[in-house]
Amino acid sequence: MSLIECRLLCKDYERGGEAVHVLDHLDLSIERGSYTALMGPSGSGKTTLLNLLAGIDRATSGELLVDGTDLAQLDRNQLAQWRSRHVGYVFQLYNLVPVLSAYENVELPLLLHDLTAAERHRRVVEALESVDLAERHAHQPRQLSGGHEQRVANAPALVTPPTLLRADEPTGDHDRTNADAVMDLFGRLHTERGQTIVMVTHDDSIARRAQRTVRLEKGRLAVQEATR
Amino acid sequence: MSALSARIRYALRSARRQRLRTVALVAGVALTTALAASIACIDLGVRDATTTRAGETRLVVYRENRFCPFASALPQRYDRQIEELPGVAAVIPVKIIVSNCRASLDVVTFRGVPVDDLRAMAPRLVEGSIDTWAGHGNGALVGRELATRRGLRVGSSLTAAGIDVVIDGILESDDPQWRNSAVTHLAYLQERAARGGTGGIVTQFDVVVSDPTRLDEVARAIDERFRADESPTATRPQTAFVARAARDVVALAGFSSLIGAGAVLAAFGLLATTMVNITRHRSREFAVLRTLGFTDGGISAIVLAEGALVGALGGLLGAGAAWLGLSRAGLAFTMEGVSISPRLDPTIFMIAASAALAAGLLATAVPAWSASRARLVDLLRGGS
Repeated sequence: MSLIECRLLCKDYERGGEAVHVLDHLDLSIERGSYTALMGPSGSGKTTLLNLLAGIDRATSGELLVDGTDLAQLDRNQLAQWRSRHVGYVFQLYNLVPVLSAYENVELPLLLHDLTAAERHRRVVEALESVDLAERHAHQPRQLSGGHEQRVANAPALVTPPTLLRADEPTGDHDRTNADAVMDLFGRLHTERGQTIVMVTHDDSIARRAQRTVRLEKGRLAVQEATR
Repeated sequence: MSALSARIRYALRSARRQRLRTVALVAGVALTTALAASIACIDLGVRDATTTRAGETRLVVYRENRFCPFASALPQRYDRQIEELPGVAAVIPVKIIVSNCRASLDVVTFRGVPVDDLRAMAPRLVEGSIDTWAGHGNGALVGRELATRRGLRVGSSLTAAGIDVVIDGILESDDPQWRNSAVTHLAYLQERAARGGTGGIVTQFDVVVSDPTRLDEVARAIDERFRADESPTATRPQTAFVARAARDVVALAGFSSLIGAGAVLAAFGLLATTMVNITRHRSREFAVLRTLGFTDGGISAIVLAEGALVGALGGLLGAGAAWLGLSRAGLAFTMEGVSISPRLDPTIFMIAASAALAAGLLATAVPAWSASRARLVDLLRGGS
């Protein structure tokens, strides 16, 4: 059953007075509980597609349904609320709030949910333990190494839990050990929780950890293949 | 947790973690508020002392064409002649000696008055006794502001302008002239001024009229009475007298108010610019919050809450500091024996603190709006 349905999806930007067609009438379905890697050369539209799927950006035309919701019909605030309920984010850049501790960064998405303080605490502790950083809960991002910072950045996606986990270059410029840790976490989320994951990556070896690879070229679907 | 409390909690955390930034902003707002409140108090004091109001009943009779207590000399016997004029309720002969005739913030003004006249005025004593003073030839009752400024207490002594007095009481008054004077026996001050001479000379007469609508009429009658006498007089309502005597101080206070208002505006501009820059540097942070589901209003609320926090804290601290500073300093601008004190009106401090809160909100309104309206994708890419 499809969680995400894209039909004739277009996204145009204006650059130097000219329209750039980043996504060009894209058709794509993503199954609930699937693990998909988006690949393609720079400028192929993979991050743009990921942003549209996660409600961060809006399509210029076409239809995008996520879990039965037509995102184009939601206004800014409705879209924000939808994101808080349905999407977990792992960014290319770590994007942690610098003035908050690791614990508070992980707790952040929960502040918008109607939960007791005890329930929030339970989930945050559990998420930090999942990324093996419970003992660093009081550290601020600048006090963490790059690898630890990325692990903390993964944890907010675990606390809600989201309908869709959106990950943009989650292994980024990490060394192999940290990259493997991130991928192991995603693997566990997928197999143990049935989490739907859509991930952008340039790295074939990372893409092979997903179930399916979708390759884009010039804003169109070039290839989609099962990887395992 | 409600959405509002989540935003407020976030704003508080952010303010607490950026301690240096928050302290600097709060200090800036506090200084601006203190400056604004002080200027307003001084301005109010000047207006109180120099604006003639309906219902005013006091006249000051001075020697014509004299502008300094050292130069104004009137025969004390004029008091009986003034008393006889229609509309006059009371006449108090006053001898004034000042430690400094020019404009200064710390002048000691001795006001010599007859004992019975002072009793009739029923001054409010916050300390000491009028009876002790009455039986004490070189005793003085000092005004509260002068006592504060000079650290005077009952029993202590004060020496200035060649006059030595012992403090028998501290008096409170609505009139800044009395709050900033040391009231002595008239005869003692006359004797000290004449260095053993005959006395019988006063600096001015304070006249109370029975009907405020006849103030000008009585003033004219007094001056007319002595026009051909050895010492012609110039009689004015007390506020007009203060305005004339302290015109340089009034002008200076007005100029200071202008400079102060400019400083307040400049400080507000700096605060607003700083808030805009801070918010601009936090664009990625706000992008993360919006991505996580904080609404436009939620982001605005966070930025505004931080502005409100800075404004409220700075406002309260600034207003409190101004109140404390002005009340402890006993500040008074004195010139030619006339004093003008800032008026510590609680309304001013409430308005100043509220204005600081409003300024904090206003300074963050534009950044709050722009933080909430910027395109999320652009913010995540690191733009503003």
